Amino acid sequence: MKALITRLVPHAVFALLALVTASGCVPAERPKHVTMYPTSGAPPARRVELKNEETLHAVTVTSGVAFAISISDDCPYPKGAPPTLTIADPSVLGGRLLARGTAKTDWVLWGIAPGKTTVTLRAECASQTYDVTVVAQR
Amino acid sequence: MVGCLLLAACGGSHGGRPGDHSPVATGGRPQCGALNVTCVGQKLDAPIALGAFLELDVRTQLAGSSGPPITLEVADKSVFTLKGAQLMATGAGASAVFFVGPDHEVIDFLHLWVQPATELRILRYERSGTPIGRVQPAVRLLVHDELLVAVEPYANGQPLAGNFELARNLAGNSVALLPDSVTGYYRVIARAPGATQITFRALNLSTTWSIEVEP
Repeated sequence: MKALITRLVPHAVFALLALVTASGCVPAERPKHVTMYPTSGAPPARRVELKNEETLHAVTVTSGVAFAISISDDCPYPKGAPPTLTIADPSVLGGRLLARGTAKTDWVLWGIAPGKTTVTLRAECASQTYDVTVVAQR
Repeated sequence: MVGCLLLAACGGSHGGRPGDHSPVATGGRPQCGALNVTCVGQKLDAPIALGAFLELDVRTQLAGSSGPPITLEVADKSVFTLKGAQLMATGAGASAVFFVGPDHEVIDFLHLWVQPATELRILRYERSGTPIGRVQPAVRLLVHDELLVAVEPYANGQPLAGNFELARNLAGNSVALLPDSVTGYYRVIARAPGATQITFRALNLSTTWSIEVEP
């Protein structure tokens, strides 16, 4: 009897694991993200909109308007270099680091001229591209 | 970084609000900037008149540091152009102005508006700089009376900031019109009985002031 149990246990464990896996209950590794969020707003009658949705990452800003952002990621510790921010067309959107401590995750972005471009954030474990629209102010 | 950056608009050499070169001496409550580390002096409580200039006196208060060297940059060069620390209001609209520190990092920023002036008003001030009110289009003075006035731009009833070239013309010689030692102010001194009409021109606008001096 003991020998039978000994022989069946591995099969039972395997079957249980297969069942759990098939049911989707095994925690898969969550995808890593890097996102930016605004820490300042627009002046009256001007736009700063930043969308962080499941399938939409977009920024709309009025020409001449600046807004501060902070970048966060869920990369594991210890973290190395801070995330980078790259603007595809710097004639449409400007960006500069804010003087805020050593983390180097705070930036200011501003609309320069009406048009479209992208901003790409790159952290050690993830990247994210935002579609940017700069609208005319008048 | 915890800090505060104080700004005030300094007076120009001709028209506009009289200058106050002490940015912390303004009596109004300062308006703080986008990141709550920038505070704006009382002189920036209005749009800047299109065609005017504004010189910013930038003061910083940073924990553990004196104020770092700062340069100005603007977001929309069709609204402002820069001449050193002087902002030239070249287009209607709004633009961010950046206070850029060492290594080109932005210490703070704020948005400034530019609006065309629709009217020039003549305002009277006390010697202390306290505004008394708008002068009447026609006034009567006695010989040796003296008024301290400034010519300031308005748009739809709202006062505008900034300084600008101010042309003035006197028809008559009963009064003298002298620029005060503080920029923006003019001293009007009644010298002799008679009538004088003063015309101020600036920002594509003009205003006329009739003064009758009595013995």
